[in-house]
Amino acid sequence: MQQASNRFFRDATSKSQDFQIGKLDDGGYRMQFFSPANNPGYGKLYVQTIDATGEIVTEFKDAMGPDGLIERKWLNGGPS
Amino acid sequence: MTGRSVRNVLEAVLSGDLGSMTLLESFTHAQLAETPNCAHIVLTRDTVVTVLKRLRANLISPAEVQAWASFVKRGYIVGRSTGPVRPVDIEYQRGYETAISESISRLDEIGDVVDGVLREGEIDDFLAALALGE
Repeated sequence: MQQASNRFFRDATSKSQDFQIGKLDDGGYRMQFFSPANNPGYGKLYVQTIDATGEIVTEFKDAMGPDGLIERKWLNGGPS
Repeated sequence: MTGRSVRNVLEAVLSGDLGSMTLLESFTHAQLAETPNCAHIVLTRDTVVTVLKRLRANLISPAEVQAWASFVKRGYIVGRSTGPVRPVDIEYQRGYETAISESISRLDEIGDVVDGVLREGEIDDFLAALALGE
């Protein structure tokens, strides 16, 4: 868990905020943070879930705008 | 498939040889993750500087750089697996972790719908930060 969270959060930038870690019912964890964009009102939400062994189950980033979600980009897992 | 080992290709990619990304993508994730001594693969400041300078000189494309940055950031090739993956453990050179992280994270954003294009002078800013370290 420690290694996985270190890897995930190390690439948060100095502007990033709202760092969260939550334990899931299956023993895994959900981690996320938000990085504001250069354009005010926009940004990206980075989300990763790992299982109890530390393997990445899902990972995606949401491009957010003033009206909410613009686009979700799946990096691992997600809808097939 | 060539005779190059996974370890050899990984080292080429981590040294900034973006042309080796295609070869890297020919390996399965299991092959990448099982590479011996993966824990000692380090992304150095010099490699990031080299990639940034080549991008600035238009010697490599933004899309190539994005794919490279995504891999070195996450330790796996995105979009290839629907199941759990154990990333290749890629360390950032000590003393330059923050500067490397800021650069790689930004390069990984290339092509995104938000902040998908580097602004003028942004590469120079990263090079300056990488020259200073933490």
